[in-house]
Amino acid sequence: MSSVAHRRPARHRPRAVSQRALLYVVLAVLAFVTAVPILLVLSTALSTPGYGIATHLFPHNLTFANITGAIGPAHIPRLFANSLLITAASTCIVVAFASLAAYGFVQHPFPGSRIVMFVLLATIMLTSASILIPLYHVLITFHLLNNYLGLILPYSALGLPVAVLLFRNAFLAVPRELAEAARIDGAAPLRVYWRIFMPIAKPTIATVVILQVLLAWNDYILALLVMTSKSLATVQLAYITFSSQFNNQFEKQFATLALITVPVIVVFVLFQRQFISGLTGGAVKE
Amino acid sequence: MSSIVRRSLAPTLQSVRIAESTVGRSRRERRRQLQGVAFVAPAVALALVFLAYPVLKTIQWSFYNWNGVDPHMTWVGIDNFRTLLTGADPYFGRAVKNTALWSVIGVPIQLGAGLTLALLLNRNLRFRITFRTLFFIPVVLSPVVIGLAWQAMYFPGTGILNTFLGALGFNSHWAWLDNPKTAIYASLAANLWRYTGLTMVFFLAALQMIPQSLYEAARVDGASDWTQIKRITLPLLRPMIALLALLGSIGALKEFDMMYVLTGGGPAHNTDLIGLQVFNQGFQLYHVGYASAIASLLLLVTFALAALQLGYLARTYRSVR
Repeated sequence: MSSVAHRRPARHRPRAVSQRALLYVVLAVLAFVTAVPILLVLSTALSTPGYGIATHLFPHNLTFANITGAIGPAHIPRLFANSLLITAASTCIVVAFASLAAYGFVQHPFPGSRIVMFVLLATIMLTSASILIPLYHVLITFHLLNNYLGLILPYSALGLPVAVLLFRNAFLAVPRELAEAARIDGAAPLRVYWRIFMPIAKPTIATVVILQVLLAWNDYILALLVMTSKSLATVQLAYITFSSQFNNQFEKQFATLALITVPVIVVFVLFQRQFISGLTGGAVKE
Repeated sequence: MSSIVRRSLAPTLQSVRIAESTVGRSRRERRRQLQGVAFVAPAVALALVFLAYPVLKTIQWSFYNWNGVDPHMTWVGIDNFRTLLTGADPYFGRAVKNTALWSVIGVPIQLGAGLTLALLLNRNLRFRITFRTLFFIPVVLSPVVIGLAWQAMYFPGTGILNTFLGALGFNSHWAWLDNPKTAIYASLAANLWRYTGLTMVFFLAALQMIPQSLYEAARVDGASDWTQIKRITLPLLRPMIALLALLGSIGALKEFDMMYVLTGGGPAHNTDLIGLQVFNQGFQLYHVGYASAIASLLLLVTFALAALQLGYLARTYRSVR
């Protein structure tokens, strides 16, 4: 970064060198402390059963017995399939509905559209706790308990407002002349949306996808309420198989946690730039 | 002759052409509006059923005494709110106190930690992106993983924290999450771990907006690093600090899934938060009316904070311009 220019000559001075070394040490210690809870999960998952939990940060007698022992009873492949389906479907719905709505608000305003948009955007502030009970009753009314749609639709609704806001901001930045020129050429509105607006909004699509995947993949409470049937559960509920008051199988619980966390961390590390700019509204540069 | 006709007819022809195009334009305009309605409709339908209707129901139910199942609901007027606001329910009082603690103590620490990390990383470092990525990982983890991992951190005797303290010669049998004295602070530490990375990247973004020329000028004047932070960095970060403080406070009101896993509000309601109360009253005690009243208050406070935030942002942007 540009802030460095002045520091580079200073590096040659002994005091600056030791300061820099200290900085690295401090950062490494902080990063290690940050990693402790994750290391704890992994080491417990990979240690010999019965050794006791959470005492060590690195596997004691490395074994994959907990992992392999957890996969069957907790129906891990099934739960992964459920979570993938629910996450993918709600992400598609949010991207499609939110971008279409934003396109309507920006390019095809109608009487009252500003009010509709304002109310829709105001729901960004809703806390899920404050609508959970009636939401549950809505799902009962539509017979959506133990049904994929019972999670797909609420997750889509919860992710929708922020997505509309992001798409609206992206579409407002599209040059007016571009859409007008296409319209004069006789392009139908949906064609303008698909050929001009969506390609320009690609970074926004990435942001919305990341936000929605995190929302749907990581949700716990709604999944707990809606999916009471074990075969329809999501990955977040996997640990429950091994948690009971009298026979808590910690190693296997933590094996399920490791199984559902490692893919998230890998995907995050691969796309960390997109994740971080997505979660901060695109404000972070390298 | 023909030129006369043409001249005399010209205005008429022109007005006819104008009238035609107005009719055409208004019809086209109507069509465009209808298309707009069609584009917006799916999103609005989804939001109406799964967001707006639940909000209205929450408000309605808060005036009833209802267990959520019984076909009969008893109208109790503002009784639920009276119980909540007069402090007649000690558990709710505890939850409000804990939520306040969550923002009054938790938010400043979170901001301080996030800013410190951002300041450390905002320079040309090898492994800068690696460090940033590591600090950010907790943000993408699920509340279940965070809740269970932090339970394990605090196990009395064998937990990593107690093992560490024992190695240093301290008491290693402290039940951090089961002891009413430490439970809320231990929970707050887990929350701090979860969100510091997010605060850090917001601060990093804001730091990158500060023009380097300001620091160069200060250095020419012989200002120390600390003076530069105090006189340049902090004043220019004020809008971001305010924004994050508000987001953190709203986060305290929203918090409940990680805490549901970590403590469930226990021991004996010592870590109850307002969000947890809604869930426990509604889904475990079947006090749906009462839970709805708590949820309505939560809605009101969140929207008030959000309005405050929007107002502040609008003012800042105006003053920047």
